[in-house]
Amino acid sequence: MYNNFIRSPSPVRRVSSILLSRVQPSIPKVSRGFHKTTASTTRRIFTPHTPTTPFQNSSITPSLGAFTSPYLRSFRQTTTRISYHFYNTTAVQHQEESAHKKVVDETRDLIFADVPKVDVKKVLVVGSGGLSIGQAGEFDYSGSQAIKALRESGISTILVNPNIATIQTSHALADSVYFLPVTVEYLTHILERERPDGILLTFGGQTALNVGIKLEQMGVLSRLGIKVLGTPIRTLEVSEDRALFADALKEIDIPVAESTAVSSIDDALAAAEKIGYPIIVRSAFALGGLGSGFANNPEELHSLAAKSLSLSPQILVEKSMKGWKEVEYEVVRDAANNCITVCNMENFDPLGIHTGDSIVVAPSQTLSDEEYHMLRTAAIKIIRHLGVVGECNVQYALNPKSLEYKVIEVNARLSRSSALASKATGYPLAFVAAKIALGHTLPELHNAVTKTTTACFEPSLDYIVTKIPRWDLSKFQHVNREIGSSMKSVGEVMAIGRTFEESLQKVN
Amino acid sequence: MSMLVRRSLSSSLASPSSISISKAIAAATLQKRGLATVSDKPFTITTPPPAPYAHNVTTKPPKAALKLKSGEVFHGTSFGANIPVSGEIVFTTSLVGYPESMTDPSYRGQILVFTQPLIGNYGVPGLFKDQYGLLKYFESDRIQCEAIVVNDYATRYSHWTAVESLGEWCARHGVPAITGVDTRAIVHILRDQGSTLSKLVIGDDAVNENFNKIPYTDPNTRNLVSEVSTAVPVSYNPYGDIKIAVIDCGVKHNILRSLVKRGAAVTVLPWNFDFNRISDQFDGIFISNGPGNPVKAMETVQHLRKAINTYKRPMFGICMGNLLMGMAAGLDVRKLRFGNRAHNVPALNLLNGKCQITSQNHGYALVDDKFPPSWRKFYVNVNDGSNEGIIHKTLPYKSVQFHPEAKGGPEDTEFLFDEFIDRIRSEKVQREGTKFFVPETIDQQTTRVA
Repeated sequence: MYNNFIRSPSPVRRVSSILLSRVQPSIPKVSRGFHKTTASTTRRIFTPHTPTTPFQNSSITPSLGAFTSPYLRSFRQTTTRISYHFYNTTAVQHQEESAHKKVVDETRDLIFADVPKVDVKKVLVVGSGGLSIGQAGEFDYSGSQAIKALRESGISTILVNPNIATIQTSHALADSVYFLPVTVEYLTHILERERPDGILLTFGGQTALNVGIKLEQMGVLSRLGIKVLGTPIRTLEVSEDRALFADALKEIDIPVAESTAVSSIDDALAAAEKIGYPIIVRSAFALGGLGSGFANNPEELHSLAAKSLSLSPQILVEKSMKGWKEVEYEVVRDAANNCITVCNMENFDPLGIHTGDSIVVAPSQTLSDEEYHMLRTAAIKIIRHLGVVGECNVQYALNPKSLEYKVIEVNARLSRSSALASKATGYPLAFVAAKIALGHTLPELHNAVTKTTTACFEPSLDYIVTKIPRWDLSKFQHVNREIGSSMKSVGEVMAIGRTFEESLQKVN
Repeated sequence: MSMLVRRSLSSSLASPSSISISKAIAAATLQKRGLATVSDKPFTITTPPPAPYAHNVTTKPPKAALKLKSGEVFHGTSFGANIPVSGEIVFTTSLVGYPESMTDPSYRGQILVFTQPLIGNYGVPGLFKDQYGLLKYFESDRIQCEAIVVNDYATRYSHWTAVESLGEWCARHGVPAITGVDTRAIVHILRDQGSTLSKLVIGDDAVNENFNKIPYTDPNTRNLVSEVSTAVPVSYNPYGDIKIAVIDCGVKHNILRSLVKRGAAVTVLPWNFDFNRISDQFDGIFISNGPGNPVKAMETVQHLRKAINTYKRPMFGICMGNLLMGMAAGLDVRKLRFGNRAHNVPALNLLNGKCQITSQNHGYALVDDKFPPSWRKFYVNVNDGSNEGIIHKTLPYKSVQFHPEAKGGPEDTEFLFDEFIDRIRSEKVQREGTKFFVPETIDQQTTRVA
């Protein structure tokens, strides 16, 4: 699927004076005037991002000249925006005739009957920004996949990500990259300058999501007429605000961990009295369970709540379900309401240890058919009710002694677990999610593993995947070395084996 | 090594100051390396009670060997009954639900290979029955498959519903089981050459590769439907408001449950029972799933052919029911190369363009190139384009190749039962007026208005 591109040669590596002489004359000497150009910002060197350039048969692309021409050197030094060009050969390559293609061709009208058409030419992808504990390199993966998917559809992409140590900012991916902080101010500036048709918010983790919600609340997106592709903003808000979320799940009779949102220590203590100890405190709008923890008595809660409230304006007091099984499902839904669960994962450590800090096994190995499909059906019900378009992650707590379960969390975005699920199953979750955001449907997309079948399937593994987190706590002084409900790992290792023992030992 | 230790010991004994130095060094290295968890609190180690073992581990499990008709031999260890068997070898890619699969009558006569590597992890639940008298965790009252082949059998199980291990269960039912086999290799062979026959032997025969004691038996030459069908009519939930006749070609208990829990009174009839004689007593007819070659059940097809022309009330079929319905409508059947046995097969509804993930278990499919004028395609398999269901253009007859009742598998298509039951109800109301069926909600509304 990804081989449909001819990547542009590296601008620096392959410089040849003969070729340059051939290319240079065709580079426009003036910047195109869509917007004001300042010395410190870019000069748009070439604009056609469509495949119909005169250089299609040439072995090099015009961008080569851009970086070597003396008059452009200043551009390279001063700008934060870099443009690249490469062309798509999807149209040229013929996909082999498969049963799947035949079925799709015959039923195309039906499949697309109630899918709103997404007509965009230029899309901004919001990256995750700098990496931190609680938010690791997995969002680089999802962003890169999204950009690849956009490119394959011939859409010009703009990426905002200040982190240079990522693949997604490499020259072979986005058409233009802004190495600017992922904040509302900078994004507003970029959106005003670039005027994209659409914006993708779910590929840059919690940071991108929060910024996106703020942009919408400030009215920037509606003012500039920018479409939010994929999951609508309202769904993102509902999934992030725990009170709204609990109400939404109550509407469809899905049990949710009962929680009381409070914004002061006294309220927290009062809520805890009502619920009963032990309790868990979580903070709303938080990264990697930051500021959350368990409390067995009012004293512990007092100190915990004080700490959490310093990090977040609102905290949630919930009944602790320590010791329950923790199971996650990765669900994908398209605009035509087709749903699949790509992978389910089970935490080796029970509830109480953050997923990022626990050993995770995919697929789940201790669930019976009844439990597996009860949770699967619930996940699909939730994603349909919330109206997610793209990828979503549902986390459950499952009582190990009965069929009782509770939804802990729903992430209506690509998450850490999605990246793991994607690698564990070979199913390109982020890629498919981006394609769905562009108005494609699951049955019509190709299965990246077999190439001949549909993407509307659930990978059935004949191996076991184990993930073990990696900590680097020796770099921090005075840090509590016990793992708990807030994430402390800085990375993770995954291994595949034919038996559980094999995969677990490989990870070590 | 011991030399070194002794030397360091003697040196530390020699001078007391060196002890404190080495302690300091040890403390420094500990600090530098940084352990993942350091706790000041003393902790007590409580040993959990040992999980139940499947075998007495002191006795060595006997060897087992599997031979495919194409010549490949796989060696492993036995964990089930000590009986040599032969049958058609098929594979399922389902991740969960081995008790459901193994008791599914559609697997009759087949040696079942699980591609999910770890099997037996959650043991086997007990023979509990629900309020309708149907088995809660199994699809029939015995293990239906001839034998099972797994990659890695979990000798210890742990689950709140489990009462015995998979090995004990297999041994009790006289079903041999083999573990330690490269199931991936078997699946590759089956995918390349299609499903084939195989033999499983245990003990000395396995060590010596002596497979000659039993012949290859092809279950598809037998009438498997008659083996698994009920001998006498059985009824469930007799006080239901609508009456459905289930033609039992090997019906799964969850199909019956799906019907009775929606309020239907179900009568299970033997596969070759001529239901046309009494069909006016029923509000709908259901044709169940079943094992083997559908051509062996021509009697049912002839009854169905008559019913299609005369019985105007709803009819619904699943799996074998789809094949029989199709044959009665005038379609041909073909044997699939290796069949579709999985919980992840996408089926596209050709009426509304929705794609659903379905649970499947079939080795035969309808040939749907040409259709009789009054029928049309209902579902199609998006992966291989094979037929997944047919529907009558005017009359309320339809059938699907997949299993909407799940168990095991996804429950995405369960709404087909709702549609079937709703159709039966509405037709019954049209036919007989509302005297037989008055929903409570309407009742409440009228009283409130009054």
